[in-house]
Amino acid sequence: MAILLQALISGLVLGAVYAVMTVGLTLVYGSLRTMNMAQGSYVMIGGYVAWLAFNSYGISPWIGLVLAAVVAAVFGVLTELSAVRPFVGHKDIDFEMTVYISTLAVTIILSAGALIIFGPRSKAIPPLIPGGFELPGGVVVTWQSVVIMVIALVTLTGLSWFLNSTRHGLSVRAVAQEHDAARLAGIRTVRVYMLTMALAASLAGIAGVLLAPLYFISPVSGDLPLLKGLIVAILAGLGSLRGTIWGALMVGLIEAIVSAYFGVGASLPILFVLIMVVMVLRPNGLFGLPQEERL
Amino acid sequence: MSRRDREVQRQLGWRPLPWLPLLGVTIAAAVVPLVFTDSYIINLLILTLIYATLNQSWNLTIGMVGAWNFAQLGLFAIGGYLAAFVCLRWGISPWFALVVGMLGAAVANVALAIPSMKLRGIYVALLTFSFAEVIRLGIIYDDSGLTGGVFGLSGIPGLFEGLSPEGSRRATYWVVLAVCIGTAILIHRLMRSPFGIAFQALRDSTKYAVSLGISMRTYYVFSTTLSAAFAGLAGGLYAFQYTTISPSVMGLTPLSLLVLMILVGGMGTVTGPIVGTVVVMLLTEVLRGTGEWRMLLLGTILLGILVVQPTGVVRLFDGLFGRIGQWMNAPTEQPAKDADDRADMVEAAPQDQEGVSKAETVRSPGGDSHVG
Repeated sequence: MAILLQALISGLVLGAVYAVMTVGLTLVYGSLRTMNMAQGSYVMIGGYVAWLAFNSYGISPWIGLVLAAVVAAVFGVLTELSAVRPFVGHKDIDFEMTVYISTLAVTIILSAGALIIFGPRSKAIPPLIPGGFELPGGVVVTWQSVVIMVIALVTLTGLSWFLNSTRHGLSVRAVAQEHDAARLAGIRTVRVYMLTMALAASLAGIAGVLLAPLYFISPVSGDLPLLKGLIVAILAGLGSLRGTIWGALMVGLIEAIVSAYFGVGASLPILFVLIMVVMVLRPNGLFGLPQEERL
Repeated sequence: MSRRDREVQRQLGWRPLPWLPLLGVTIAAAVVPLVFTDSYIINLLILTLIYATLNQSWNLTIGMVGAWNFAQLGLFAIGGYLAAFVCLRWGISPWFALVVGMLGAAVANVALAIPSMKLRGIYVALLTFSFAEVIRLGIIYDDSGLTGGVFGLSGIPGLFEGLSPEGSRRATYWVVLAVCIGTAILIHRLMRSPFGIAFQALRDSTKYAVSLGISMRTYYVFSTTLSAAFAGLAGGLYAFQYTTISPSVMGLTPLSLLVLMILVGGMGTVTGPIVGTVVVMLLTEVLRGTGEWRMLLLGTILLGILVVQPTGVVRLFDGLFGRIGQWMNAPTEQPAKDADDRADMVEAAPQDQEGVSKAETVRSPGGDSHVG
């Protein structure tokens, strides 16, 4: 019983981090109708920023969180300029797929850059609040888990406020809903693209700092988050933000429970079998909306 | 071939095979191991040919059918691991093991293709990519000893155990060359058959093709299974050539190399992947001295190529001849007299009631962007 409770708790924590990470993917897909495969790299960058701030300047990881968000946002903008903007409106190509590959190229460049700058050895940063407390039944809850949940909640709430109540957030949603009508309404869609990607990247950066004490920071520390993000995206479908959050929680819980009972190596294959089953039954994902095809 | 057949082929864009140059290249390639005895070069060429086969198989789905399938390296690995496994554990002859590897990859692909059939393009890309990653990470985290985990399987016998190292290398080279050329011939024949025409129809104008009764699902499964079989074959050959196979054959780095090869060569042609493979292998050799910077440079080159010419570098040269021809044959300058005449003609065009000249061009609505 204790194992199950422990797994549930870590599942929720994982799910929360995945939610923060993957919401960015959904945002970008909604606005630009393409996948940003560099999302994992921003997680890695966030981790490195926090590590650099802490290690070299003694800056607390709390501030590192904010720094990571900012730096990741910068990289998001750079990605947009180099890997997305050149293809917007290009007639001869399949936009979706070309950007898929170009953002893959960006991931490689960023990983290689991290390897050159920081070297191949993993880095670690201390948890934001060390230690934990014990619940009746022998279940240990680390303060870091609590912090992660709180920060994730705050971030997602902030995002929701931004998207619903601010002018720029509404323009992001407008572009996602109906691209041409947004342009007619005077929204500069290309600027919205940049904003969306910067936002998505900063979210991933935050997730990177949250994940860093759990999984070490290395040039390839973006690979696994990207894969998890893709799994969540496929499972939940790329249509709705709320669906993505639920999907992230589901994936986190399944991963934690499977890991607890069957070992760490089993969670990925089982997750994959699960999404294959979901794909057969609901090709648009559990919460996905059947997308109208761009003609 | 009747005149009508020739006309149809011309309209389809089929150009007759340049037999003589191809034969010459084949003979030159076959003679290479007799002329160059440096083992490093021969091994490099063997690797190039293996990748060329892999890229051709990938081209079958991504270039010919237009299905965005990123599982290729996973199938490559499945073929290799399976062939290695049955050879090591059960002592099956390497040749037979190759076939087992092919079948295994094909079967794995069918399992993957069934959910992929109904999915939209981007989901297929994500699903297949995840498939390859899950296989890679699944092997890395495998403690059971079946797959050897991070270190992979080793001690795999070569294809020609009885021969001297040099003889074995040469024989392997010729086998791999034969496989590569055989694959090319097969794919070429396939694309010229009714199957191939159906593939291209699905790629260029999916809805129209489906409305004509060409089922995307059947052809997708068929093309990906065939592609998987060849990928598995390439994987098996890889395993027997290097006597080890490990998860490092998969992952973003090899994938980016493959993507680069296919982009440079251009998708959708038979020779494209081969040319792309050769060029990129040369590039990696040239960049070998740069150490850590290699992947950074490769990634930047990939991005650069995409931005400059997303449809493939070979296409760049394709149009070059045409453009040079246009430039050389450009009409001489019109004297001013003609310009005046044309202006008069526009003035004289009948105006309709709203005052809009009928000579104004009509814009075509929307626009199907598939150029094929």
